[in-house]
Amino acid sequence: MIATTVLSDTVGGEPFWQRVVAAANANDDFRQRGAHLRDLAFVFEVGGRRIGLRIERGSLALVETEAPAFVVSGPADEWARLVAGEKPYGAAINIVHGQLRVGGDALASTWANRPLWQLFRLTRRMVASGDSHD
Amino acid sequence: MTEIVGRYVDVDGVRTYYESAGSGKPILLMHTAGRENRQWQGVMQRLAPEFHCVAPDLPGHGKSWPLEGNVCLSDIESIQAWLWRFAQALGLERPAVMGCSIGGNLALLLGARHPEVRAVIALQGAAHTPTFTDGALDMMTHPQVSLMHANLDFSMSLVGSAASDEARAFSEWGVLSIIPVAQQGDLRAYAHCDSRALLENVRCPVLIARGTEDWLVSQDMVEAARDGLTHAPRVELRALPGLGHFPHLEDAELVAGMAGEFLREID
Repeated sequence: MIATTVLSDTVGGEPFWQRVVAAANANDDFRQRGAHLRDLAFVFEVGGRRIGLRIERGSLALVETEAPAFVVSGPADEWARLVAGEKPYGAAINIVHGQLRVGGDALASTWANRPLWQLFRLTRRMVASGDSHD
Repeated sequence: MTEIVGRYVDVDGVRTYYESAGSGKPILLMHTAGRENRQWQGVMQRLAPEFHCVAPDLPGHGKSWPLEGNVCLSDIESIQAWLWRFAQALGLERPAVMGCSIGGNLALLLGARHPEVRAVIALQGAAHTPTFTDGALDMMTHPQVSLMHANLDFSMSLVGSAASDEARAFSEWGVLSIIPVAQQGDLRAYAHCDSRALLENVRCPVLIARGTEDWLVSQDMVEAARDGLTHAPRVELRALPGLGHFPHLEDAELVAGMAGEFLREID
């Protein structure tokens, strides 16, 4: 619970996502699960903050994007629960159990399922190891 | 080890595969969405010394043929009606009905629709489960979606921490061997299932059991089902710690023991 409270303040910030990107690019499972994706840009809306990301053949980058294929949006508290592993990705975006919503190209967001599940496994490890904030 | 035998029977013109084992009072066993009757083999082998266990594959699942036009059933009432005709085709008298997830919802619905049902055992069973959007369901048969790829992490996240390695491997195989139209039909039925108003019609004993690590079927959902069973002579709600969405697969011994204990006390 303490971790989630701290994360609610940091999960919308770019420094946190820079660490996530570095962790993803260093992780073979993430790279493998995203290897089928070509120039897929998407946005995480964390509260009022927009985090632009792109996967290119398994490599993740922070980007400025005006035309994301899809947007995952919701309150910072729910993002904090997701990145801390208190709630799995499927639950966080579930129509009954979650507060995040996926909008945009449903096909593109479906293609991104496996790398996104892996991404949030990595954030859980980061939070557990204390590597989620300065 | 009790032998499990596979056979076919014609139900509404559909060549329907089922497995059975044992003798005694009958139990109709219903698989989860998009899967097939092998899920129940561990439970069947343990219950067979006392009960006649019968587990069909729904049309278009496992080894059962699909409906005309290569489609599957996709609403909860049609599935329960089909299951009842299956039970009648085999001459099962006053069967107990036992299922998991959509099978649990179906067990409750069969109990509400058919006074001949001897008892209901609903694993992860509820009456109202609007947990999938139609948009997400439409994606399941999109020509550019690999459902086994897209659903693997979702499905495996539902397995509890106490599940055996064998159960975990078979759950994964269930996703890797998925039939998209079967999964889509079942989950459409599941997402639109709302049998809350019918629960008061259940007049037989009911056991609802929930793997506590299942994030899809919440404690609130199963408690709501329990509370709606106002005319059932006996209602039990049990927690299964460490198990997830597939208790019969994750710990067959525990589920068989629990079911046997419950059913032994019922005429």
